[in-house]
Amino acid sequence: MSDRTRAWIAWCAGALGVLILGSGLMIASVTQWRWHLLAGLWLLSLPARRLIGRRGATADRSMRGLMLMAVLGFSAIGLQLARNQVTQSEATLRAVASLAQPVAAEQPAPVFPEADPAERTSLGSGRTLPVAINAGVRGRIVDRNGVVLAETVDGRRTYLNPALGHLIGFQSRLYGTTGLEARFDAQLSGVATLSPTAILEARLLGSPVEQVPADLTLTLDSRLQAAAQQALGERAGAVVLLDVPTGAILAMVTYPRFDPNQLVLPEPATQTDVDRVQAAWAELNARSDAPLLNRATQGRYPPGSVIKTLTAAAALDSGVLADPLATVTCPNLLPTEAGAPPVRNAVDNLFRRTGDPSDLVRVYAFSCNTAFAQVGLSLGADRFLEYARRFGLQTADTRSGPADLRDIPAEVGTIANEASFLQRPAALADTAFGQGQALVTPLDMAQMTASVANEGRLMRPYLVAEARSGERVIYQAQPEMLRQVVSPETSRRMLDIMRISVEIGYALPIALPGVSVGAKTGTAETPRGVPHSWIVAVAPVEQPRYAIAVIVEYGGEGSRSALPVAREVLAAALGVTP
Amino acid sequence: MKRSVIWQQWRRLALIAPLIILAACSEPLIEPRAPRTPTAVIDRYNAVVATAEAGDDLLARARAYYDRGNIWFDQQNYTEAIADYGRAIALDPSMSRAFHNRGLAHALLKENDAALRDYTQAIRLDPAYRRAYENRVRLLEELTASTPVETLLQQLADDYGNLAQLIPEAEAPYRYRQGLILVRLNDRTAAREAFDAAIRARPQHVDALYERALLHYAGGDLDAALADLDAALRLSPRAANAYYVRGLIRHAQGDTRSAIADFGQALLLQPAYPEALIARAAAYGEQGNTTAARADLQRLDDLQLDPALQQAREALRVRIGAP
Repeated sequence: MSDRTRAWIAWCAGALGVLILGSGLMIASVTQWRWHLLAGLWLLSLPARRLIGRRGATADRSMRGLMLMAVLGFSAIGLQLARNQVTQSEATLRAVASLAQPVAAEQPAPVFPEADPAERTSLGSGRTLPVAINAGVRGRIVDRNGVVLAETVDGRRTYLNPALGHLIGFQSRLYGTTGLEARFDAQLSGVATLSPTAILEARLLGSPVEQVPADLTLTLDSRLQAAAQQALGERAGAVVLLDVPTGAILAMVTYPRFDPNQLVLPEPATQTDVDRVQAAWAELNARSDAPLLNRATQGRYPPGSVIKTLTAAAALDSGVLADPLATVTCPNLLPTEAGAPPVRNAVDNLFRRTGDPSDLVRVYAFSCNTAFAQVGLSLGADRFLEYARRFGLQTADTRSGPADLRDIPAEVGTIANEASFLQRPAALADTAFGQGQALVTPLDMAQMTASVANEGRLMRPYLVAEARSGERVIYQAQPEMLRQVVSPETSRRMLDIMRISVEIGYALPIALPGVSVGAKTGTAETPRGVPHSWIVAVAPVEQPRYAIAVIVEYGGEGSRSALPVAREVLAAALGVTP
Repeated sequence: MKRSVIWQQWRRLALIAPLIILAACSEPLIEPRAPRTPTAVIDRYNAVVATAEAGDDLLARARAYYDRGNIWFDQQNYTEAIADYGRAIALDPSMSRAFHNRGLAHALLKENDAALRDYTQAIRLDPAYRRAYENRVRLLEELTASTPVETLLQQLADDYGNLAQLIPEAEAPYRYRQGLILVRLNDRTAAREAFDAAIRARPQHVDALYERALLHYAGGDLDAALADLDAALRLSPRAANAYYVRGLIRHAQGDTRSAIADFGQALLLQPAYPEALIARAAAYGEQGNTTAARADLQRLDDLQLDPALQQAREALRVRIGAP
């Protein structure tokens, strides 16, 4: 390459170096600037080295080289400072303006960034105003006779009957609102009397809302509730007493229970109050006997022999048994399928009581398991399941929809975990007399009994009769028939069967003077060995008014623990001396 | 050592020298920041103060303290700045800028009461002192955002009004803000005047139109409210909340069908709009169309509702007999 070409390249490189350095001054990235500086200075050194030349003594050349490095170094520092002036010019200007500001007079007009109106998706400040609804104002809860069960005194909710926590629930600032307090919060707080649009306007404009709390009237009868509480005593279990024609719940007792007053904070509350409430809540949740559980609606138990009422009603209604006197046998053992243990009766030689052959009336009265296993097998899985569903019992795998009771939390009873379970003869036979996988609530059994007594009509159970704000009724419960589960004829037959069960059978001790009672006891086996004690009953049989279901957990035979409870409650309801 | 070896050493040194130089000057490259006046500059101002102290001219002395206060201020030494501004004020109590700057220093030290006092004094001395108003507004906005004290809100509203007069080109936004504060103060008449002024200054001010419509609505003048909302919607046809409010007004007028149409338009523009869903469901309920009402009620289940909207939903549930 000729020297002339080399010189040309060197000068071009120098020009390129100037360009690179110049452009680097404008670049914000520090890293890029460093590369520009390095590359630019190196390119600039090329023509400089040509100018210095390679001739002369070594010492001279070294000195010239040193001078070149010094020039390049100072150039780097100079360029660095120059770049600072460029990249930080705005900040510098601001700082200078800040210094001069107090003296300077003229200022630019402030800029308010505003979007194009056509692009706006929301206008105004977007403020919302609090709606002044006073939580301290709340309606009373009274029983069907006007007995006050809950009221607000000086801003504090007070539960005058502390045994009703599982129904009324509580309104706690720490733990929220539960039970009827939650379900009917809109009525009790007065929100239900407002129009939704009025609340929206109040929220938008700050206009006042007129809050008129309503009083709730329950279907409960405090007298019957007290009788049921006393009869059950301090035994774990539940009692449900229904008004047969309407489905209204007249008494609903569960034990263990809790006092809702211990969860309510006073207003104003001290730290001591908060600690007390928190300790009470922790204690309730830690207890192994689950006092917060409403056993009447949420406790799911094996039904034992009370389910025979469903099996008998299904057999009569479907025509599998022509009438209550149709022949049924009560053998000691009933083999069902190969490999499965045969069905046994609770006592040997029960046929001596039922007769041999017997009929539906007598096998029901003496609770013959083998007879009802045969009836179940005659019904077949599909038909048995169909009747179970009519009575409100589902299978766990197809369970859907809420429970019939809407006013407080309730569980849906199940006849089996899976519908296919009942396709096995042994499973169907067991389920038909009260074993198998069925799990029901006391309310389920009370509903079953009430529907049998109510010409086959299953009514929706309910606890709140009405909500009234002064003279204005803002909620009124109407008795609601859910479905016809069996025919009126079957109903009449079943009532006879239940009545005879009391006259000649195991339910005899429930008999009351001057009143005909129909009943079925149940003894539900448990893994602990001691069975749950059940009874369902209806009275008076001629014109049924009351249906009751009682369970006493681990209470032994149905006639021993549950029966006396039901007898006392029915006696109180019917006004007779037991 | 041979010469060629020495030469090679020099060449290597020449190669790495630029790297050493770059490393040496890398520190200032880390973060660009606003240059402050060098600390040493204060010495020059100390000298100026000393010279002024030696003289008899009180105003010159005040000016020297004021200037040095500005330097302290610039160096973020607000305590020293406040002291120097204080000396300047003592020598010349008419020095509005010293009051203002001291107020700003107090505000930066979160000494809000002292800041407000100084701003107020600066404005008293110079009623056209725009920056003093602006800084007081900034402080008042901050204070009233957390604690809406009525006197502070009133002061803020007045300041917005003064700024609107001082800066005619920014009258509309300042009047609008003044109106919002007056609404918070529940002074609806004055608020409407402020919104009127904002709209006069800029007829396309859609926010002022919307807020004035709300005032008309609250005052029961539904026709005027509708006129403002119509005007706002002509300019901002995608504003969902304007349709929602127009729906409420039409509902209040008894025109349920048009109200449902407006709520529907709001929901078309903003599908997750709980207020519009509740309002439309209530209107459907009044028409007896419980199926549509329940469908809207069901859509609310997926939305977050504040306590007031939860109450409205419960009231709606009761009204349409939904479980």
